Amino acid sequence: MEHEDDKNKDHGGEDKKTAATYPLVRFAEVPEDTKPEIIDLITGAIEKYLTDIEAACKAIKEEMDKVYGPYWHVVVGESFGFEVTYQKEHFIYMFFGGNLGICLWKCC
Amino acid sequence: MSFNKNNPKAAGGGSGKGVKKRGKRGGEEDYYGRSNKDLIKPHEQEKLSEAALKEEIIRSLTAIDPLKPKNLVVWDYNESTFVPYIQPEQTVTLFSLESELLFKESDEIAAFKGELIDDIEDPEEDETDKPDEKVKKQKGGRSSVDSKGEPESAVKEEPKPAEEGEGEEQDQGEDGESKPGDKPKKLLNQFNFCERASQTYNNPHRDKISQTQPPPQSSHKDYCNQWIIYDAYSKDKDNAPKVSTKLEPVEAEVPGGDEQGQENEEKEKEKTKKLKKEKEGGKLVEKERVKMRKPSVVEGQAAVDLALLKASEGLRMIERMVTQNVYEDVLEDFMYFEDASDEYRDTGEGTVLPLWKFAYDKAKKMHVTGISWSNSTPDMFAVSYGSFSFVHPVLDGMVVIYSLRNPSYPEQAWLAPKGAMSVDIHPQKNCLVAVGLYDGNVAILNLKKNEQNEAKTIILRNIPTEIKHRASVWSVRWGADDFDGNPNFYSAGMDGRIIHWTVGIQDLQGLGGLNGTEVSTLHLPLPPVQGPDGTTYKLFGCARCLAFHPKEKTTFLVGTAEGNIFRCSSLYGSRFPQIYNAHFLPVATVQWNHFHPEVFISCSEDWTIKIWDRRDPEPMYVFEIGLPILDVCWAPYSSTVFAGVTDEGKVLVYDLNINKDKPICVQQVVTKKKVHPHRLSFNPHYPIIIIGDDRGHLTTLKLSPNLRILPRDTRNIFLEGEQKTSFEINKMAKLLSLVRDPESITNPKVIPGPGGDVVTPSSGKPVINHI
Repeated sequence: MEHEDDKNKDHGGEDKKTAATYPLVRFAEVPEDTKPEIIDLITGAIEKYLTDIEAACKAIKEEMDKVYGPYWHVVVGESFGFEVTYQKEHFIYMFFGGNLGICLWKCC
Repeated sequence: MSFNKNNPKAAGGGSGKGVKKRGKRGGEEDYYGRSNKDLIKPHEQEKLSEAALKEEIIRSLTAIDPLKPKNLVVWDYNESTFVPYIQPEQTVTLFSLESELLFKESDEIAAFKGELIDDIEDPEEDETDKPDEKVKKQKGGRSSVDSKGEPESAVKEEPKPAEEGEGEEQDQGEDGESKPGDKPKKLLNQFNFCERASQTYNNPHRDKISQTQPPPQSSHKDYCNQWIIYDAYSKDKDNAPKVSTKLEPVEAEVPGGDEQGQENEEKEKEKTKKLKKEKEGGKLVEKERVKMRKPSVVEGQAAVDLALLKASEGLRMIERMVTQNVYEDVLEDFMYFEDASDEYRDTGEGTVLPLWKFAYDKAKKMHVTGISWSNSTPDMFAVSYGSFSFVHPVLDGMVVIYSLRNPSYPEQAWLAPKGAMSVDIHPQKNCLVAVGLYDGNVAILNLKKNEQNEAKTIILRNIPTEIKHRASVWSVRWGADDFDGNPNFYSAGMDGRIIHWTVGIQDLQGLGGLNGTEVSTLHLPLPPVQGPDGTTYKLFGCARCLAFHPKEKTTFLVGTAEGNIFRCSSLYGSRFPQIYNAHFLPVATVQWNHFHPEVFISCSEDWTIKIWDRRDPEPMYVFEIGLPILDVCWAPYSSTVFAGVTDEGKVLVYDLNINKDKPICVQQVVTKKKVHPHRLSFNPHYPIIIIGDDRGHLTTLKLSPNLRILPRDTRNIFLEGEQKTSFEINKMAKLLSLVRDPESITNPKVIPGPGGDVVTPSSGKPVINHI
């Protein structure tokens, strides 16, 4: 019984997981008008460097610094914990691609 | 400072300059051009020998005062002795100038040059040395120069040095050139001003630092794991369909326990929300009660009133919702129904569609005596109830404010002490409603909520003891606000007078009373009538209706019961620019055209509707209906469309542009016999008209598309603003020119019946032929 249940669950999970690659914002404290831009930027960078998280992370940071002024900090990873102090209105924490967490904040 | 001064005679020999001049003039004249030989000498002058004259007597000017006592003493009382008294210096320096000139042939110059060359890095020292040297040099004279070398250049320049003040440096420059390679050349650079440099005070640098507030910060912490991400996505997925169900609740027929569960949840949420709201509401009321109870018992009553008022607000809203549901089909008709059959009628005829019916129980037996739409709030109108039946005069009247949104019950109602005969809503401030009463008084309703007494409208009447009408007020009309911005209105009464009322600020608060001034009395153009005992008096016309010109604020028309129409001006009351002999029965209505400034319409129970050009004493058009016409009204959207209502309850709509002979719509709107519609009015915004009858009922009718054709330009776009106005004016002007062009310029197109030449009842009393 248990086994079956697990199977079912897995099946359902897979179903969901296949579709769950869209950017999902967990917590964001950015102006509403710039929010879609930032999300586009992040997703674009990650899609560009699909295999190289490090490069994607670097790309995000550099682009953010260029567009919204220094100093931005980015964490991209599959598993991490964080507690950050950020400048107000400059924080976004989101998931993307079904397995990546992105934490982006600005602080001098 | 000290110098030698030679004897005047000997001085000439002393300086080179003197020698030179003397030489020039051959020694015969002295400096002033006098001959030496014939010098006039005073007699007492001592005669000296030649030798004695040539003797040089040196007089020297020193800074030491020779007369100054040198051994002054002062008695000192302390020591009882004389103590030498040391006088302060008696010399006063008035002016001192250090010369920087060096006589070039002097000995010092050589030494000076050498010094400079030796320590050229220290120019200041040189300068300090200079003056002493100069003094010496001048003393030395030229003999020393002679002793030095360079005789050629010296001789050449001998006359110059004294004349050229600053020539020294140049001279020295030449000297330098004559000996190229000599070190002294450095000195001779006239641009070498290094020794003149001075340094100003340098402000010390200070650092000032201030620190701004750091940008506001906050912090956030979270964990990110694969399973957290997974959970987040799956939760988000669950949420997504919820949104869709919210948006389209009707189509949410998705099977599955989850969905139902969600719906249940939502319901529960709503329930809890409602409960919360109710609780809050209850709390509020309770709070207010508590508040009110505190001061006294009377206040408690007020609190109950307040609570009732609050409840009534809620009830009113519910009522409105219910009526909107009940009359939903009517509402749909009002908004969207267009009579499709209009397109297939060739003659341009149209129909009217009945919409809501307004009836108020308390005004059941009364006649609708006036209807006025609010200009700014298109769904609001005021109705006055009274009576046209003077055989059985009614005791009370009513003024009722209705909204199209709620046809079942009036928004506000005011029970007038006497029958209300006319009503008018202020065109801008639609909280002000002027009412004319049967007993000759006027009143104003201020519909705005009062802060102290929210429930009641403020009612303001004129002071009956002062100026007022002596008979019923048949018409009230707001005029343009005066210079102080005070609203004012005009009333016309049966007593033939037009009274102008100004509403002050304190009046609006319900204090005091209205004050009126008589504008004019409508004296008929007839000779005075003989009264009893040989008195004579002038007949006056009984005003029945009043119409203000839409543009010229001082021009207005008054229709009288005698059938005359007076064109008046509020600027002067005793004379009338024009009196039209319009009808031979009382003029029921006059109204200016909304577009053409010269045109107005009138109707009467003498079966005619007449259209006038105000410059012409005869009507332009006369429409013989064959039935008494009780009211007529121009359409606000077109210059050629007007509607009339007959005694039998028929509505006639004319569009002169389409058909000048026949109405484009004739429709029975009042079904019962013996019911006479008395008032008709166009809504200023919507294509609807309202008709009030003598049973207190109001009927709204929607005009079909053919009755409200709006002008379009060549591109099939509706005209607006100025364009539309000019188009409408042209349309009307064309119609007028049709009847004016032929010879029968003043004759109306349709020859009226026997009433063409006006019969005026000699008694001056109106012929009342209503019921």
